[in-house]
Amino acid sequence: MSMILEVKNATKQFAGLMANEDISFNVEEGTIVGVVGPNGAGKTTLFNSISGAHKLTSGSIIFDGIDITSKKANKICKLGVGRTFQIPQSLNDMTVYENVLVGSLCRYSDISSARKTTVEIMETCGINKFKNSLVKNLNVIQKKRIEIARALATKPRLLLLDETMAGLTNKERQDAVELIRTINKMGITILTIEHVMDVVMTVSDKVVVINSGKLLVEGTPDEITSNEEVINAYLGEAKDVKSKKS
Amino acid sequence: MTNINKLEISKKTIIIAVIGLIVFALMPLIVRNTFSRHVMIMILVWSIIGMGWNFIGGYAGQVSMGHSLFYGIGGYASAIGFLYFNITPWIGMLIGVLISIIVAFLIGAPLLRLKGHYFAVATMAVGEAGRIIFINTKAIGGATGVDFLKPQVPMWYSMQFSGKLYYFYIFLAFAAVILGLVIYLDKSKFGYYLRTIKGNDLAAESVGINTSKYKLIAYILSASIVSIGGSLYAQYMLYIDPTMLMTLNTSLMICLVTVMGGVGKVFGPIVGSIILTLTSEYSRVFFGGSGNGMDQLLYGLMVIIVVLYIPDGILSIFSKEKLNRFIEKKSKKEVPSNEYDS
Amino acid sequence: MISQVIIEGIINGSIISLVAVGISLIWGVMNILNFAQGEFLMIGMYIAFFLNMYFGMDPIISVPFCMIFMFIIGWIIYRATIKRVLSGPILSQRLLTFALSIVLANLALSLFGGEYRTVSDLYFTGSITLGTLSISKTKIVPFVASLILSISLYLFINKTRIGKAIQATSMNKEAAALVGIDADFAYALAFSLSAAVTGAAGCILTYYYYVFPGVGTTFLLFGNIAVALGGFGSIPGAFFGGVIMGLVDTTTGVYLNTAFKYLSVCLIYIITVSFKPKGLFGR
Repeated sequence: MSMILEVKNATKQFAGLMANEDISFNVEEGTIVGVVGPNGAGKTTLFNSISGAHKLTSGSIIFDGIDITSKKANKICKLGVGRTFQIPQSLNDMTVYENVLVGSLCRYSDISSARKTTVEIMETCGINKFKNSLVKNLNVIQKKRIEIARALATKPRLLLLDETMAGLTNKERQDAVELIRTINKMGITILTIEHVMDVVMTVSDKVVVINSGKLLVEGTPDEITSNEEVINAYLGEAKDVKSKKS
Repeated sequence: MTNINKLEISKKTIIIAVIGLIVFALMPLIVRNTFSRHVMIMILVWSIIGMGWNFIGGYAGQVSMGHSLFYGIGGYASAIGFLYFNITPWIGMLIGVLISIIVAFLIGAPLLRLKGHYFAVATMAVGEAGRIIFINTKAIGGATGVDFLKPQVPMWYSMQFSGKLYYFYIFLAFAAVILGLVIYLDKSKFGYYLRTIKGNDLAAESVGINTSKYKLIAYILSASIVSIGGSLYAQYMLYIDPTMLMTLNTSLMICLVTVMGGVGKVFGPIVGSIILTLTSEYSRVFFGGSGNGMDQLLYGLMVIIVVLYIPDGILSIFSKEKLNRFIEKKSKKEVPSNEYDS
Repeated sequence: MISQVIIEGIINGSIISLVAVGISLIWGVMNILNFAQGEFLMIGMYIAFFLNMYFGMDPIISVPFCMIFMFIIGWIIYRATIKRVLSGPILSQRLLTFALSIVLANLALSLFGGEYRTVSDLYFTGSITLGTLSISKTKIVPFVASLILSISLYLFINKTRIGKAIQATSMNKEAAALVGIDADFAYALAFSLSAAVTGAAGCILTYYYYVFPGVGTTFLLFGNIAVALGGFGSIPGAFFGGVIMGLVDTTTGVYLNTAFKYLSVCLIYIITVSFKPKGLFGR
């Protein structure tokens, strides 16, 4: 199995604040990798560097053998990286259908060709029932779902999910996990930032722990939950989690 | 599947456009007095200009307040071309478009990187710079402008007609073509991409949209169309000077036309143009005679009222969303989901 | 002489600075581009003119009266119009102020006629000599007055409780509301203050400029460019921007064709923001 993403010595500095420091890890194609760490550890900053929202101060990012370190965000998307945002960046004055359509237009040159994919993806993500509603009338959970659909519509090979489980009820969480698994079965590699521990440990093949901008440790969910340093970083949160691999 | 369905253009839009054009085309035959015909011609001119600006200011959300520059370039290109070089304005207009495209490309690239008020002020500065250059270039008439009436030249060559009807139908043809373009682009990939850029820049980049490229294309497109408007206007007035065409006031009125009707909407600029032109022309007739500014005063007041009470433009009164909410309030029932045509 | 030109430039710039400071206040606090700012200047000028004509009052003396009057006008305008569009689209806000400027300018035209007026019997006349430089008092006085006003405004915004309340509201309306600051009041205050300061600039300007209904337009443009140059929300930035504008205006006017003054000003702005998209001091 090849490495679809290689992060090498990624460092991002913002005028005096070292948000990411010398982070290196790889992501195997077809896997689900969880990115965890305390608030403010620098996880979203890392995502921003990978997706091209900003450039690394030093280090490099290789996607599918291509150096994307200094590429612009839209180019990186075209190469096959999709992402969602921690706070949904929705197109509020457009309908749900149109939000997803815009994503699929990445791969098609006109509306009619893009329509079929758009509808399929809305089905997969379970948002077909309110496809004609204006996004500004929907709640945050629905907006997150729409954003996943939109990213999916760009036919990514790597999908970056940023905290999709926040604020969900148990049932909603199960549905979300199902969706992630479905997406993964389509052959899409997933890199997901998560705070909801039992979800991450259940769904991930590998977990990467970021703390204070640095990579603390990486390993399987079992290895992570029994790691002393990780437990200390979270001050006891990780102790109560049992990892279940399906 | 017909071509139209492929593009998801609603039948409603086509019907309104066709009926509107037919009605408008018949108007001069019903209304025969010269002044009314003049007003109708001006409505067409402002509709064209508004539709042009709508691409960058309405759809793409980059509010340029300096489009008088392109209006001027268009007007001067056809006027000067004809006066000094005997080039027919039909070609002169195209030269104007070409110049506008080049200028828009050169200034658009750096300017479009700016955001919000900074962009607005920068476009104002550009518009003003243009005006000053024109005022001070004696070769093209400077402050005294260009007077290019040449009655001896055959009228179809000079585009100088003795009767208003000629102007009216030619302008109507231009407006119809541009309206067709707007309808087509509104539901095209280009239109959707512009709306996405306006809605959320970050989201747009994340789905593979090269925002700089599309903003620039919209800017250049809008410049070209406004330039055509300028050429047509010049041909109608047969006299132009920088104060008529290139002031900040002109730039703001170009924005106003679209905003009053509804930004980013197909018919917005046309509705806005009708309202604004009727107001300014008729108040000038009734109040402006003594040069005391009353007509402008009333124009300003009307704009204030519309902006205060109908901030999303006049077309928004007819939007289904507003009607649904109105009905909701009246019957105090929850409307379960919003059904819209695509 | 170069130093003469520079002095002239700074002095001319100081009036633009006052307008710019007024614009910056509104821009910084409410994020509105106020196209009627030039008309506030114009109204201030007419106030000074009429007080001068009927009471022989020197324009500098009329500043306090003017400021009070303009403050009230600003308050009324804010309550009647601005307040309602704050939550709407930004373009509507700008076009509202544009329409406002048309109304005010034409109101002046209808009421006072379009003739150019000047004030007479100035208190400070003649000139002072500093070494080889000769500066007319009719220019020094406006400069000093402008400087005093700008500094006072700056101190008010940054050192008084009310001023800080206004700042807080501009940074985060909801948070400010949570600590008991009424956003609406803060906005009304900022708007009216801005009108007052700009009106005062008008008074001062009558020292060496004609009074007529359309006088606002040039200063509006220059003022806006000065603010954008200096950066969003920064009063010192706006003042500095105004001075730069004045310098460019004067130096190019002397060494190049008069017309290119304006052009250079516009170009300087465009070049500056190409490199510093948020202005020289912007945040």
